[in-house]
Amino acid sequence: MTEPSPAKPTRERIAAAVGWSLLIPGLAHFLADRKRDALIWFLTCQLLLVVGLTLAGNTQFDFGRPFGFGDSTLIYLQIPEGANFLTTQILARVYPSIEIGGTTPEHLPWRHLGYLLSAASGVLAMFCAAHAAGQAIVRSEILHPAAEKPRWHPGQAALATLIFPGLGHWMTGRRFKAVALAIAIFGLFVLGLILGEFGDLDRQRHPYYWVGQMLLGLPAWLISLATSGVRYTGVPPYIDAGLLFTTSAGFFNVIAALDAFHRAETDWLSKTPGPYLASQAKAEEPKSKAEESKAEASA
Amino acid sequence: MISPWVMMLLLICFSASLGVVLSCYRDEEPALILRGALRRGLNFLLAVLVLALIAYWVSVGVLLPSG
Repeated sequence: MTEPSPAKPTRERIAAAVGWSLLIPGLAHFLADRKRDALIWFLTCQLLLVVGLTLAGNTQFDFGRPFGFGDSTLIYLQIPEGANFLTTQILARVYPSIEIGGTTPEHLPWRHLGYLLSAASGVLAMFCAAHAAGQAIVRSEILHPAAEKPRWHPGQAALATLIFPGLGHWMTGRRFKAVALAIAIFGLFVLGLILGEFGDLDRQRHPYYWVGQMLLGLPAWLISLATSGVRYTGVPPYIDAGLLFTTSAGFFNVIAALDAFHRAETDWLSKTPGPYLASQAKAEEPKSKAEESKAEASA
Repeated sequence: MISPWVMMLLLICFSASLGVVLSCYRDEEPALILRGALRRGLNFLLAVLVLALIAYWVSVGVLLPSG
């Protein structure tokens, strides 16, 4: 049986919602007349970015790269903050890194928290886009009146994965998958931490790996904060494997979020008029056949 | 000192995790997920092992200066 898919106008609304959200987090919610959600998303993402940049003296921009022609910069490639696109572009032009003035980040006691907050802003902006896409589905695909409304929409299921791997599946009733994903992803992350002697989560030491690690969401953010003071006295023998594992766990969590979104979307679409009536007819089919045979027997 | 046996154990762990995540993405039924995880994990494990053996053979047998 083929899975139901959103209608073309819904798909266009999803694409627009993702685009607007990545430009300014909350804009898609605002355009969809969800003003409260829009304000929460906008303020959360912007505050995290501004506070994060302030705490780290804008040294986040040292990990980015200006991209353009000659001396003119078209875009500032900054991962993961760049998912909060417009504000990152403006701030990258207005506030240079303090390292340009000769100060190093080591003089900033709260730089690790700053890196974490600005990264959370970017990752949340990505998931804001998923949330807006979920709302676009809910708004456009009207449920059959007799169908029971799913408790969570696809965007919420994807967002829950950021709180803990597998939580989005747990919320939509897929308990086995939730536990399997939590063990596989978080287990890999913890194993990576042990191999890296709890020093893997450091933007200054491993900036590229760090971007992937941040995609694991809240657990990685908290562990990053807790282990920010870890210093190496030598190179751990399995540090490469540790970095690979923790970064892969972050990317695996994105796969889990995409799956949570897709499964919740299927749940929703299966309750729209066409698929819902088809499933009802299929459910009644064996019953009617049994009734027919009973009637034949009595005759 | 890096032990090849520890690296093998780590490869098994990574393959298992990869297999589970991919199977959860592809399938919905627990039985299918378990079977798929085993198949995909083993595929990855064997592919990496074959590549590692080729790399070892090239480094030792071809690229190492004979003396």
